[in-house]
Parts: sequence; C-alpha cells; structure tokens
Amino acid sequence: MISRRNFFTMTILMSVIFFLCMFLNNMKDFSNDYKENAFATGTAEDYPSKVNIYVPDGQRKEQKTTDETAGEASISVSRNRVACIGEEGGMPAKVVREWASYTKRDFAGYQTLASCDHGETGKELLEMLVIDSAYVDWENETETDFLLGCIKGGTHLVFATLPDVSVIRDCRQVRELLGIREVVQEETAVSGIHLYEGFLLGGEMVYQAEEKEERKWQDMELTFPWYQLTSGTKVYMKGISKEEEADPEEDPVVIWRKSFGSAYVFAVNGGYMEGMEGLGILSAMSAEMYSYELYPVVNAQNLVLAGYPGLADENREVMEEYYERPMRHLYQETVWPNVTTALQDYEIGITCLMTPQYDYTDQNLPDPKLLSEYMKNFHEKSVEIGWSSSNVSGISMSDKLSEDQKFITEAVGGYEFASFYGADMDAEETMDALHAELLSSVRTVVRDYGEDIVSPVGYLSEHITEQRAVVDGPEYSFRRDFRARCVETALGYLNMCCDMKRLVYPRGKKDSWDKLAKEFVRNADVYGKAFQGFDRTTISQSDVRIRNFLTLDYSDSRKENQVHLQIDKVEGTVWFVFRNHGGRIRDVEGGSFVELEEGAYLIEADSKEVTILLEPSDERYYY
Amino acid sequence: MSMALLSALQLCGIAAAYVIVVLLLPWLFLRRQLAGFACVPVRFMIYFLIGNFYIINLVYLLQLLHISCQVTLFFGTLAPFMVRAVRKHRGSFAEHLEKRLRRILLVLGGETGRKTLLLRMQKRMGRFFIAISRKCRQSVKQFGLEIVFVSGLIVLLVYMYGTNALHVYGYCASDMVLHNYWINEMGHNHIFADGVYPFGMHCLLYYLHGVFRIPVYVLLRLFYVVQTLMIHLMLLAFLRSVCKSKYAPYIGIMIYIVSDRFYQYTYIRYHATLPQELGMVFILPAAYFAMAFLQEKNLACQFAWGKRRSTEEAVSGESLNPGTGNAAELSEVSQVAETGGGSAAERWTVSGLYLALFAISVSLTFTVHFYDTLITGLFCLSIGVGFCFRVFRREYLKRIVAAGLLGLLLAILPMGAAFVTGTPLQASLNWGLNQWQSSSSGGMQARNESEKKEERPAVLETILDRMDYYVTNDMETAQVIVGSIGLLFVLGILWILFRKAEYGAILVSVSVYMAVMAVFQAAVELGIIQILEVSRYSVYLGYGIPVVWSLCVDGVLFLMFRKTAVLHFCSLAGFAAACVMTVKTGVRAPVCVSAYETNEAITCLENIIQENKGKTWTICSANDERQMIEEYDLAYHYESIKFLRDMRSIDEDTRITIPTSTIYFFIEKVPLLYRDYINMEKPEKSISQKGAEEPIPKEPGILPYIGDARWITMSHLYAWAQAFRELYPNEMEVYYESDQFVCYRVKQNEYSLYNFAIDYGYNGSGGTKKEQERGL
Repeated sequence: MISRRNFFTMTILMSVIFFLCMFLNNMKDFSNDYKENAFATGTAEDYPSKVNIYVPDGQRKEQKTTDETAGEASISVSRNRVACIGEEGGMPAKVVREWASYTKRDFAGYQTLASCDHGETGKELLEMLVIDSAYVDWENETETDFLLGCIKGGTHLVFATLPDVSVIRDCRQVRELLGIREVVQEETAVSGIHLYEGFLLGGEMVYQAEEKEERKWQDMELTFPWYQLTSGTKVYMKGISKEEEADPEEDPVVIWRKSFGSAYVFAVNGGYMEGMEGLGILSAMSAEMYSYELYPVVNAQNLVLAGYPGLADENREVMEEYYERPMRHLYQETVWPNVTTALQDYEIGITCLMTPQYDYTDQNLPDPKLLSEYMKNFHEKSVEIGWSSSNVSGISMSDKLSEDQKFITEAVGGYEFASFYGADMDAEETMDALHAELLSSVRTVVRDYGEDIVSPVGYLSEHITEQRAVVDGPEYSFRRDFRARCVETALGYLNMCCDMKRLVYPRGKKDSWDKLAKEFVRNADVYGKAFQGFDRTTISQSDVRIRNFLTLDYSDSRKENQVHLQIDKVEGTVWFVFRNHGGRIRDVEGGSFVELEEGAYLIEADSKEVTILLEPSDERYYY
Repeated sequence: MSMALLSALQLCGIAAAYVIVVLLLPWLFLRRQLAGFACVPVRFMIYFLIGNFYIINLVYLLQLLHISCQVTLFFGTLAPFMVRAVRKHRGSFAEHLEKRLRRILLVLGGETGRKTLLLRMQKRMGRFFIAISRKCRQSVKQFGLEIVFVSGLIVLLVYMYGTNALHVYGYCASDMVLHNYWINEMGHNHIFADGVYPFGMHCLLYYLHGVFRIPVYVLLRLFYVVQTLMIHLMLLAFLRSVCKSKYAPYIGIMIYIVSDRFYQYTYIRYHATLPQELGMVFILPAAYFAMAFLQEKNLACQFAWGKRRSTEEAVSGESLNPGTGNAAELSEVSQVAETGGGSAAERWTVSGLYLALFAISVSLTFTVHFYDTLITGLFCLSIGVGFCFRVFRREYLKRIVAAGLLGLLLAILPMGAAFVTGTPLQASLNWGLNQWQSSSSGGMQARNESEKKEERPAVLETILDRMDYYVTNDMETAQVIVGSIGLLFVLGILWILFRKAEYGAILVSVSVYMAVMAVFQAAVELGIIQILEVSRYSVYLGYGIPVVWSLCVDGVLFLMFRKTAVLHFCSLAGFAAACVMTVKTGVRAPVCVSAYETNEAITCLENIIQENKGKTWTICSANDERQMIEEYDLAYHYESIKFLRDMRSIDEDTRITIPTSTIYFFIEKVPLLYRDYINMEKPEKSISQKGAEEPIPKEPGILPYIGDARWITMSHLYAWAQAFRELYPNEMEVYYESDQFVCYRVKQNEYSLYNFAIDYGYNGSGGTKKEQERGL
C-alpha cells in the first residue's frame, strides 16, 4: 500500500518532470526566431565599401625600426615599397600587387630591370624586389650588378621563378646571388615535399604519400632542378629524395634564402608563387626579413556547404543505388551529423548556402516544412543560411530565382539572405543574379576557386564583397593543403567550399558521400588543428571582417620590448598576425592576443592604439 | 630564481644527503650497540668513518661487478638493515611479515576504522615527539653552551667557505673537470676510466648522484663546503676527545678559521672539491684511534654492545671528557659485559674496536688520496715516538702494524683487482711516483750540495723562513707556531714526568708530528727527502696548527687547574680571550677564488638544462661544459678550438654542421685566467679585433684555453659570432649577456642544418674573401 503522502509526492514529481520536458521544448521552439536571419545585420551599403578600400598613398612616413636594444644603433628599414619585374598582368605581378595591397604597401611593376633602375631613380629604396627570372637578361652583367647593388643597398630580392638551369650552371655570379654551390642534376624527381616549421603558419608538413590510398593526394610539383646550397643559406622547403637512405641534408631544395648581411635573396624552385600560394609565401618571407613582423589579417574560418540543404526528393533512383535512401534522409541523417561531428572540436563556422531544389523540371517539389525544420536547427547551432545558384535543370538563373522566391515566401514569408553562392558564374552573371528580389539583401558572394585567381577576398562590385573558395570541395590533396596554409599565413582566412549537389547528382562512385566523408573529416582535422587560434565565422561575419581588413591602414614601431601599433581608417575590431621568431608576448594593451604557434600570435586590436609588450628575449629563469 | 639562492638550496640538499648517508644511517644502525660508548665526539667519528667506509666500498663492489645503478645502490645501502631484520626474526620472519600484512589488510578492509588508525598514528607521533623533546632537553642540559658553540662554528664555517659557493659558480680547481669525467664514466659502470686511481671521493659523489639524483657538476661545484665543514668538525671532534678542558679545542679552531695570519695556501684548497682535502677528514680519526689503542692497558678488555645505562654511569659527569681516561671508563663497561653476558659474536674487545676503526681510517685515507695516507703514516710514526714506552711491546706493535696493513690492503683491494684485470695505473700516479723518486734523489743531491757550502743558515731559521713563506703571512706568526710546537713537546714531557703518561704521550706525538711536518716543509732547503709537493704541506701544517694551540692551552690549564669545573671555566675564559685577540690581530674576509668557468656560463648551463629536452642541444664552448653535460647523456659538446680550426681554411666545400635543433655558443668577452693552481686573480684583458687577427692557436689539448691563447680563441669565436649573426640575425639570438660573457643561441631545423663554416674575416688561411679585402 502506498500512503497518501507518498502518492502525493510521486504525483508532484512526475508532474514537474512532465512539465519540464514539454515546456522547455515548447519554450525553445517558441523563442527560436529562425524566420529572421541573425547574420543579415544590415545592407551592403551600411558597411565600408570599395571606395573605402586602402589605397597606397605613396611612401608612408612611418618607418620600421629594428630591435633597438640598449646600446645598438637603430636601423631604419623601409618596408613600404615593393616592385615586381615581370610581365604586367602576369601571374607574379598579380600576386605581388595583391599582396602589397593586403599588406598596405606601395607597388610598382616593371617589365625589365633596366626600366626598374630607371623608374626607381631618385625614389626611396625598395623594400622588396620580386623577380620573374624570365625577364632578366642574365648574360648582361649590368643586370646582375644592378641586383647586387640592390642587395648592398638593403633591398631584399625574391626570385618568384629561377633562371634556367644552364644559366645557373654557367654563371658563377648567379649562383653566388642565389646561394647555390652546385647544380647536382638538371632535373630530379622526388617522392614528396617537406615544408619546414616556422615559415608558413600551421607548422611542419610532409607532403609525401606514405600509404597507397594517400597517393591520390599527391599533386605537388615533384620534378625540378636539384641544387646544393652554400653557407649563409636557410631552407624553408625541400624535396624528399626517393632513396630511403638518402641524407635529408642532401635533398633538393625548393624554397630557400641566401643571406648577404645587408639583405636576403629568396628563391623559389618551382611554380609555387603562381596563385594564392604566392601571397602566403611572400608574407612568410617578409616575416623572415625583420626581427618582427606585424600585418593585418581577416581572421575568419569558414566552411561553406553550397547547395545544402536541398528540400525536394530528387534523383531517387540514383540515390537508392548509391545510398539506399532518398536525398532528404541522406542530408538529414548522414551528411549533417557527419559535418557537425567533424567540426565540433574546431573553430570553423558553417554556412549553408541552400537551394530548394536542383532540378526545376521534375515534379518533385521542395518541402516547406523541411525548410522550417532546417532553419530552426541551423538557428540553434548558429549556422548561417544563404542562397545558392545550384541548378541542374538548365533553366536561367532569373527563372530559378523567381521559383525560389515563390517557395521561400510560401515557406517562411520574407527572409533576408546576406550571402550567395555564385559557383563558377563570372562577375557579370553574378551581379545580374543579385538584382533578383530574393537576393536584394545579399552583401557577399562565395565563388569557386580558380587557378588564375590570386585574391581570395575582395570586392565584386562597389558594395558587394566576394570570397573565393580556398579549398574547393571536400577532397583532400597536398596542393590544397599547401594553398590553405599559404592563405592562412597571408590573411588568416579559410574558405572550404563544398558543392553538395554532386552527392545527389554524382558523376561516379568517387562522388558518393561515403567516400567524400572521409576526405571531409581529414580536411576538417588538418585545418582545424593547424589553425586553432583563428575565429570561426560564417560567410556574413567574415564579410564584415574582410571590409574592415581591406579598409584599414596601420603603422607600427618598436622600442625595446614594446611594439606600438597605430590603426587608421577603420572602426571596430581588426586583427593582426605578429611574428617574432620565437619571442613571447607578455601582454597587449588595447587588445588581446592568442598564440597561434611558437613565435606567431593573433592580435585582436580593439582600439586604434595598441601596444604589444614582449617578454625580454634574454630573461632567464635562473639569473 | 637567483643563482645564489639556487646554489644555497642545492648546497642544503647535498649536505642533507651526505649527512643522512654517512651519519644518520650509521647512527640508526649502530646507535644501540654504541650507546654510551666513549664520548659523543668519538661516536661521531665512528659513525662518520663507518658511513664513508661502507658507502665507498659498496660503490666499489657494485662498480666492479658492473651492476651499479640507483636500485642496487639503494638496496645496497639498506642491506645491513635488512640482514639485521632477517637475523632478528630468524625463524619467525614469515610470521612477522604476515602479522604486519594482516594489520594493513585490516586497514584496507575497513575493519580498522579511519579514526582508530588516525588515533593510533597520533599516539605514536606523540610518543615520538615526546621522546625527541626529552632527548633535546637532556642534550641541552648535558652539553649546554657547547651546542651554541658548535652551531656557531658551523655557521662561521658556512659563512667563510659558503660565501664562495654563493658568488662563484664555476669549478675552482683545474683538475675538477677530470674528476667530473671519471664520475660520469662511473654512470656507465666504467670505474677507473682513466686508469687505476684512488676513487674514494668519486665513489662518494657518484653515490650521492646515483641515489639522490644530484647532478655531478652540482656536486663538484658545491660539495667542498660540506667537505670543509666535515674537516673542521672532525678537527673539533679530535680535539674534544683528547683535550682535558671543554673549550680549549674551540680556541685553535676559531683562530684557524678566521685569523688573517695564515697564508692562503693553508686554506685556499678548501674552496674546491678535491680528493686530497676530502681525505684529510680521515687523518685525525686514524691518529685518534691509534692513540686510543695505545692507551689501552688491558687488551683483553671486552666491550658490551648496547649497555647504555651502565656506560652512561661509567662516563657520567665526565662523559665529554674522555681525557679522564677512556680505559677507565671502558673497563667498567667491560665489567658490565662480563656480568651481563651477550653472544660470542657480539663480544669485541675495546682495543679490537679501536684497531678496526684505525684500520678503517687508514683505508679511507688511502682510498681517497695517497698524500693523506703519507701524512697519516707520519702522524702514526710520531705517535710511535710519543707512545714509545708502550708501542714497542710486542702485543701492541704487532696488532697496530697489522691493523695498518689491513687498512692499506682494504683500500688497495679494489684498485688491485682492477689493475690485475688489466686496467693500467692512472697517469698522475706514474707522474707522482716519478716525482717522488726524482725529489728523493734531488733532495739527496741538494743535501750534498748544501753540505759543501761553507755558510748555510741554521735549520730553525730555514724552517721559520719556509713557514713564513708557505704557512703564515708574517714571521712573528711563524715563530709563534714553531714556538708552540716546542712548548707542546715540553708540556708532553712534563705530563709524562707527572705520571699522566698517556696524556703526555698525546702531546708529544702531536708536537713530533708537527715538527716533522715543519721540517718537511723546508725539505728542499734542508736537502732531505721530499715526499710531497712542497706547497701541499702547508694545508696539512695549517690543519695541525689548531691542534697544537688547543693542546698547548689545554696542557697549560691542566697544569694549573685540576678541578674540572675550574678547568672548564678557565678554558672558556681562554676562548673568549682568543676571540678578542684574533679580532684585534686581524680577521680575514671570506675568500672568493677565481673559477675556471664564468658564473654566467654556469647560469646559462642551468637554464639550458631546465629549458631543453634530451639530446636536442649542443654547447660550443671551451672544454669545461663538456663533462658537465655529458652526465645527462642528453646533450652534445663542440669545442671552440675545434670549431675554429674546422673553418680555418675555408672554401665552398667546407661544412660545419651540428645536428641538434639548438646550439649555444659560450664566449667570454673577458677570457678567464686559466691557471694550473687555485688562485684569486681576476681577468682583465678583453677580447678584441687584435686578438682575432692573431693566428688560431695550434697547440694541442687545453693549451688553446690558457693565457693569451684563450684570449685569441675567444676573440676569434666572437668575431665569428658577429659575422654569423649578420647572416642570421633572427636565428642567432643573444641568450644571455653580461660585461664578461655572452651566450648566443641558434635554433635550426634538424632536417636542414646551417653550415656554420663562414668567412668571418679572420679564418686564418689568408685566402678568404674578407681577408683579401682586409689586405691579408
């Protein structure tokens, strides 16, 4: 027998539990404001636009001084003028121009060394001269003398491409300039590439396929001339010999520098400077040139799921064949848990650039209720929803967007999208698409990666920014990895863009999610671990950061153990990377800092005047 | 943390470890057996001797068996305790163990509650602390002022010799690096690495390193303070054992420690951890136990192990005054033994115990350093002179000679075993033997020559002159010392005539020993055989002077006052007067000697060891750090001179790579004066371009680090560092810098090593570009 008292207590308890379960869930649903886009915090016109972008206004007055330790004379080094020798509009010139713009430097492009000599006469000393070797007449001694003169004067040289092997072999002066002792082989094939720690952000990396299944990742340049270096050189990247017992010391070099005391000569053996990779390599080289380096970055880590989710039940036969379930279940029960689990420990934000359906010609219509479910879920998890141009039916973009407009109005009423996936559409097509009513509030566009594209972030139009995919697709490869490290080094920016349409309309077994999921997890692991210090953002959040990044101007100076940073032309928080060759930061006044890796810090500047206090390098525990 | 504080903490650790091993453990093992035996100073000597003897021979045994490691050393140390436990519980050992385990199970099973356990522990702790406090009260009551004096003496010694440890961090003797190497090799069970040599000190230091994990270089840097403290405490123990008055011993010791009348030769070697000085600590115990044996009138007198009560009665009132006659005391003890019985194994004769301890002392002197054995031998011969009325009796002579030979045999055994199995003699032994032979023949020659001379100074004048040169700072003090030796002899004769033959014999023995030492100090001038290097006598002479002075005061006071209380009071007054007189005549400040490494180098080394992981770093420096870091087996060393020579003739193919991720370069801006002897000179000559322009020294071995060669070497290295830093400004950073020293750190990728061979402008071949630019 249960006493009345016990019966009463049990009833009360059960009521409370029932109330808590039901009420809390209802409250959560009730307070889920999913019908409003939390990331659409204003129109594109409300933010800095292209007119605000930083334009170099000639030689800046601020000069960087090297470490002024007690008793040492301060040495002024101009770090503001960069010149490039090469074809105007050629890849090296484009890379250098873009890098100069990102790092707030002046840029000058010349076709030949002679024109450079002529053009630079009477001007301030160049900080860096990037050279496409094809545009240097190596047989002309005046040209090599000019380069030696540059070095003596303190201008750092960067050989974006190397002279022909025969030139290097025959000309002692060129070898001395590049720090090459001898040409071992005109061409050698290596089994992998070893990127050393301390050059690019993200640490040491060995791009070598250890196992059979890893061979598909190998897409680095593995054939190049083999040089042996002299003393006074430092190697940043090397090939890995195919012979297992070979001495790593003797391996062929890829990126190195030769020191002349007054300046460095950097050399890149291969085509690594062509493309976005060049930005990171230049930033890393710049960091090597000085006792410290402080440069602005975007600080945004994005994962873009383009064309995800789809809301219609499409391509059923193929879906059954590949996954034994319809698209809706694949997305909800497989893809989404895989993605969220893979990213749960890492600072990478998710943006879903959705499309209601891929095929507008079939009879399978998108499910509005499903959209609401997704939107609620995304809202809870702070996932941004944008719109995608994905479409397999071949209808025009305007028709697709008007169909989508109808659907979205029916499903959730009005909804403002801040981001749009333009896939491989060109700029004009993209701008046309943005005129649609559905996309009227869009302020940033995500576009696919292109090998000829050198700027990951920039303006598409006066007010709309564009963000290029740095890593295209969930597949992992060594070159993608290298590119991601380069862009992270230069901009602190990652945009991993996966077009999910291919899961539903696969071109073969390799497009099945079962296979791609493994690659995706590896991607997430590699980038998540390597760049933990940077912030997770969605595409709209990174848009704001990109605008500030492109707008800002800054100057810095160092006095003993204090680095003063002055920021101009921008309101709000901006981020910088501070590299100090293993030195440690004690405190940051006017901001905060996060250690990215040994000697590299992310500085968050909350005010216009920031002071970085460094730990004295010679302070020891026992004294 | 400052290095001074670190050194102080390390010193405390070393002192604690040494005291635990050589005093506390023997005390724990023998306290019941020796309870009440003789007086406290004698028991102190016994514990100390047995502790050292056991540890040194344990290490010898384990090393020769090649099984020496932390575990075997630890269990070897506890072996006597374990053997005793097994013997005690023979037959019931398993039962006893079971009983203990059952108690633990009761606790673990919860049958014995937590509160009960705590209460039991609390009661035990209470009983322990009550016993300790009772013991302390008893000690204070019994020893009173002496506790204050001994504590004061220790503080004074730590101040006088520890000051150097807090201000000078490097090795203070040139041969310490070699000792460092030998001890390092013992870490690989490779004893006598460089040949057969007395390894007593090395065994002790290796033991402290092996068991307590104190780094060898820290031991070598700081152990001398503990060693010197023990030398002086042993001096006090000896004097307290032979003097009639309580405070007379402090007179000599205090003057010896603080007076500025002694020349630096008498104390400067105390500032380094050297075998000869460690061996000195066993000379006086050997002398004491030889004299104690010769004082025994009844050689069959048995010693009752552990009869504390009776013994305390036997020595009551005069327990710290054995001068009243140990034999008398111990005859009472023997009576107790006869009545109290005891097993046959536990029956020792008192004389046998003294002989055993004498043998152990002799063995220890020989095990640590041959010179100490020679001095001990001289002292023993002097004792033979003092006790001539007894020593020539057959039963005494044969036993004491046998004990001495047994002691020597014990010491020779491990060395002999190594020699027989093919290890050659260490070079310095051969050198020493040659020196001895040549000095003997040289001495005879000098004597013949001096005999030929018509005018030669009197012997006394010569002795005084040499005493003045080697031992004292002025002739007056030398005269006082020689005079007091004479006085002591007269007092000894007087006491023999006054029928206090044993006491008189002690005085005569000491005076004869000191007289012989004074004569040997002037061996070269007098043309007699020179058994030691002349400068080494001064340390032993200095060590004997407090004995002479204390015994002089004691002898005179004992002549005047026979009542114990008056005698003690007068000796206290004498001590006070001696303090005043010493202060008035001059007190010396603590000495800071010139080290063979800069303080900055040791500071860097401590930091480097703390900051880095194993086998990832290299130090490029002059040779001293090589042995310091080798013990760790975690780092590498590159000698500066080799480094410079490797790039002397540089071309494109010259490569110097160092395969560790971090490399430290130690450069002395003011190079050290690397003398062969311990000194206090300060270096002044700074490195310069002029030094770098000199050719790199070509001499082998240590010569490139001595005198001007060191200055040239360091100038070259500094010039190289500046040139390399120009090429690698961010990679080569200043790790530590002062006016005298700079340490650079280079971090590199182990997969792509820097080529350190560069044209720094002074390479030396005259063919480098920079040299050509300079017009060389």
